[in-house]
Amino acid sequence: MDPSAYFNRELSWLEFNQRVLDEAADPAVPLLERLRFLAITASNLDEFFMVRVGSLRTCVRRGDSGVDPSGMTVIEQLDAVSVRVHRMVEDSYRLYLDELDPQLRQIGIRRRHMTELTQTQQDFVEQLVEEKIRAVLSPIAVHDPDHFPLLMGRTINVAVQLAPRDGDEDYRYAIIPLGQSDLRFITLPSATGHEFILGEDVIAMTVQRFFPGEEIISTVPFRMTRNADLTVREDDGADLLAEMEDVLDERKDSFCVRLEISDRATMPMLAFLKKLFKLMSRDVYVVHGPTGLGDLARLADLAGHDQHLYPRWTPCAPAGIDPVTPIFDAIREADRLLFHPYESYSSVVRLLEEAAVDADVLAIKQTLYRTSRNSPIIAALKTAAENGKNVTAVVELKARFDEARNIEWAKQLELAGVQVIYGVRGLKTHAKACLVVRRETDGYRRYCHFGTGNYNEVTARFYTDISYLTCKEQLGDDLVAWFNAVTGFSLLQQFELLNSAPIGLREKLLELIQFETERCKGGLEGQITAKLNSLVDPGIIDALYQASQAGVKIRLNVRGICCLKPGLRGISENIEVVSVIDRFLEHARIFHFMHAGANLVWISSADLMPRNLDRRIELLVPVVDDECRRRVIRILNTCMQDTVKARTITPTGLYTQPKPSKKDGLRSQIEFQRQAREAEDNASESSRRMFVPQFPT
Amino acid sequence: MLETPSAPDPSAESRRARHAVFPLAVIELGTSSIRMAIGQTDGVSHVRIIEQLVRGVSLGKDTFTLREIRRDTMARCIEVLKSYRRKLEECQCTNAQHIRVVATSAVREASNRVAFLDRVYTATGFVVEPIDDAEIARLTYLGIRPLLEREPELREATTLLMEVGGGTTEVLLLKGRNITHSKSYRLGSLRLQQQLRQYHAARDQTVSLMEGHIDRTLEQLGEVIPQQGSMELLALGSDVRFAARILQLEIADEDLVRVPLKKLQRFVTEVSEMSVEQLMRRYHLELSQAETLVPALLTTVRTARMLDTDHVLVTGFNLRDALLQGMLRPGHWSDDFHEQIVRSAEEVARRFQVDLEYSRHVAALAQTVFRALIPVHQMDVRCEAILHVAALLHEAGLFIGSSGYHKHSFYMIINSEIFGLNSVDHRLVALVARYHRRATPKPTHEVFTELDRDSRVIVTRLAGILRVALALAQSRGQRIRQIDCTVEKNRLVIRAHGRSDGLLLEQLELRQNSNLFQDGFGLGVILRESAE
Repeated sequence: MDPSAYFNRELSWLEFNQRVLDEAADPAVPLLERLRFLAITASNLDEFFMVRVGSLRTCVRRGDSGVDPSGMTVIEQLDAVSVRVHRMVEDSYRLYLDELDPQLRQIGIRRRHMTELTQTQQDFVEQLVEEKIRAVLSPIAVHDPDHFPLLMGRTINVAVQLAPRDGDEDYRYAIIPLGQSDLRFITLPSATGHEFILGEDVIAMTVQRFFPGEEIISTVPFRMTRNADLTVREDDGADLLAEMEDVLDERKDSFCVRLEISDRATMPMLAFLKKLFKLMSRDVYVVHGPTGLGDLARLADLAGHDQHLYPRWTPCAPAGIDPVTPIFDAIREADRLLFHPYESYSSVVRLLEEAAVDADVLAIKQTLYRTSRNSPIIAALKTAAENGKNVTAVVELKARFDEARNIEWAKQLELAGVQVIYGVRGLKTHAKACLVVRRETDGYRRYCHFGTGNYNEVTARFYTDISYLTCKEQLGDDLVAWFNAVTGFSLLQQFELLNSAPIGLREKLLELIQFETERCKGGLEGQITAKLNSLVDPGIIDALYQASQAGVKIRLNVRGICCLKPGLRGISENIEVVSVIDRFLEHARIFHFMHAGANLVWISSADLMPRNLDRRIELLVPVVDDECRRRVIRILNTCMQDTVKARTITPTGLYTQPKPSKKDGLRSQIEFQRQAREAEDNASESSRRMFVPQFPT
Repeated sequence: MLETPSAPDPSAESRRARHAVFPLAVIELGTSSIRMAIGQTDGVSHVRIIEQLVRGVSLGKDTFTLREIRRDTMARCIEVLKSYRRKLEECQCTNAQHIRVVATSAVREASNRVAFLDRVYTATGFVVEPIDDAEIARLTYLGIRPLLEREPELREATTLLMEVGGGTTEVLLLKGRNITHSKSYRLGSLRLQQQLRQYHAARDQTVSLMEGHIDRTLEQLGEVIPQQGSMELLALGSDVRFAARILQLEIADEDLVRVPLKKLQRFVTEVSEMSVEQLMRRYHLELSQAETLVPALLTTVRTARMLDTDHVLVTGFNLRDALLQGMLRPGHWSDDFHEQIVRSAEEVARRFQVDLEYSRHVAALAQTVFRALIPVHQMDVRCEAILHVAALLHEAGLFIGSSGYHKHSFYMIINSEIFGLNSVDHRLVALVARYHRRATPKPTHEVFTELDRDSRVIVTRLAGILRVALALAQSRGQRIRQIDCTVEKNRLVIRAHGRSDGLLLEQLELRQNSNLFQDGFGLGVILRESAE
């Protein structure tokens, strides 16, 4: 396919981040939510630089001369990324300084500079400097870039430019790292709202105390970002746990990919830091305002400002799952499909908690990619193991940025007697599945949970994901075989219903797309609707292009990267792509194929990216229950009908609102909240009419 | 959130005791893999398979090239079996009666099989039972029988049922559901592949070399295939199932799919042009699967061509299914299965020009005596079948000559293929036939003395019964057509019906030939005319 038929993945991701920034710029969004979106834009960029720019820079270092599917070389991509990010950063600061900060002041959240402090506040800061700042922070003299002290990435540092020594021409430099101390946001005593000062501002004003007798030319805060695209060596016989710990160590001093620095920096200072971090001009972001806008997220969580947030959302109890009867009964009665965060994740947690103490449960098998800090799921697995169940946890140590936490859980679980598998060599285990084997009077029954999101009850409150609970025999057989393969008990075998990457998932999707294509070629109707986070894989995109050319109607809801260009004449005229950015992070991966009226529905842990399809263990799970299937189709349709938060991609890569926003326009996330609340109300209404007598046991 | 108890529920065991359904497992040590199937059953109905595991272990590579299993292959087997043991514990399948571990040709033919079996037992606690070709044929037939009854196109057809394994190819020729021929050929996909490796042939030559080898080995098959009428080829095995799947013909466990031969041939041509590495990459195969795919499919295609059929029927059935079903009724031989054994024995008898009318009559008399004595000997239907076959074939040796013909019968039976009898059964049949005349077992009779005690008792008792039946049929004219037998005090009383011309001849014969019976049962034998 001609390269012009694809968007570049990095630039497409940046457009996604722009849409997040657009939410921050939307006056209809509550103020503190706007601030949160701004912070998310910045922290997204942090990860983008650590991983994607880091990866591109690694390609440059390796001398990679290839081009991506859109025809861009690595250098061209780095240059284009730099241009786009510079514009985005400027927009972000303009938004913060011109709009958000003034409005925050109006509601009583005020950043103070040293010159604005009241006497009380000055005394407070003075005391802080003497008692804490000088005790905790230490300047580091920097002489030689080759012997540069270790600075943590994504933390605030203050660079100090000192006058040359007598008889010397060169300026001297020192750095005061704030590190991970709690001195970035210093809350000031105030009778009128929340006032704070930034740690770097305090240091700048009191820097002379760190360098008595020295002439200080300038002080400037900066923040640098290191490459985090490091891969673990998974050699035969290697201790993966130890290897991962090494990777975490390596990440601390891997090469720099970005420098953010205040526009107060002098030219010599800037030149010095660029040389120090081996950066080019394109990697330097000079900002007019505080560096590290991602840290502003903490202001969005300040107590007492609920009116400036979205109304609190409490996930509803899912219909059909009675909180007082065993979850096994509910699943045995019918397959259950949950849509989080509109419906509570507690049913998933309950499955594990009840399994842990159920005398008839023999075994629990569970994948873990990312989970919460005090995860009830981890606790349930430990309890189950302590109760003599056979518990296996496939903990993915290579889950980026969660490696340290996962290593810690892995150790804890092993101590409790859980059989821990550190994923699969050479692949990341990204699939979300849990299997509970229970011996019942009529035989072994396997209770399965398949999800599109992580086993994390915290993120389940703000990520939209699907959970599918079932004890259907064929799915149970397949999941048992899948876990046997992943845990090394068996070779991967042919599944009845499931499909797993890296073997079979891509092929299945291509087969399903091909089916629709053939139908349309034969003059019949074909239709594909999918919701996912990223669409990058050229093979899948090409199959969709062919389907479009055959007349298949394709509707895609892609939150993030989309390398497919919709609406290209003769290529993708039948493809419509929309993206929804709203309060909750759109995260569910759903596929619906018309399939000659059979209306096949699948949920998946995988995005359509080469890494997911070729280098990860993923699952594509058919929703086989009719009622659940119909519900997923309704969910997909509602997502596609959003006219408030959805944006449509044009062939040139612009994102536009599908229709002029109306007062009664459909905002899918609000609609899902309404539906979930209504279902919960209906269920509680019927339970009020039905009294259940308690009999003596 | 539920409260977390600190200790397991003490009533767990009693709850489990209430579970009517229990697990069963079969482990098969094949030529290129070790497979396990775990099923569940209530002990009455069909076993439902709930887990199937497979790990690659190339036992066949060792045996078919070195004639023995190497130490590191043994270690790998033990590692796999230990992991399977853990899986069985997880499923609470720990009752040794419910676990059967079998090994096929790669273990059976290894010169160090005894050491291997002992090592496996010591390390894992599994008693591995090498099963022979006849047992595999028996299990295959039992497993496939419901399909033969269900599928209209097979119910009346002549069908060649074939499974190309790693070491051998099992063939059953069926007319409807009746077996007319059963044979195991030393033609296995892995064996073939290993043999060809020794020629160091270029890749473009290997296919023709394989085809030549396949054709030569299957030549004998041509002798038993009916020359007229169409035939079906029903192929079992993972390789042909894989091919069917790639050709987009999905097979459920017990279903049948029709694979056009042209399509299969095209696929074989395509895969035979690929290296093992290419096959692994393209079809996500394990090394062991990729290595055996082409030889296995070529064997199937060559056989289809020999049969002049334009398609191959493929089923999802496998040996482990049959083993699991067989465990529900250990030693259970249905009437139909008994009938198949007899049918196969009669085919052999015909080949040796045995007087079938006479030998069937002897068999019927022996069966009556056998059944009357069940309260005494407690022998099962398997022994009854051994007696039946021995009765049919006891005169096979006459084909060579009358002098010492019982000895000819012995080795002729030993070297014949009789469907449904495993190697031990085969030996017992031959010995029972061997001792149907005057000679009794002696310490110098090696085959007899090598038997375990139970088997020696079986031979003595069955030969004793056969001699009684022969005495009753002494006239060869079926003078005594019907008998009743009762055990009274320390005697077996046989009452002959419908004879008015006296039983003197038979009584004399009995007196002379009942010594082995008396040794075996501690009972005398009396023949009387029925009072009716």
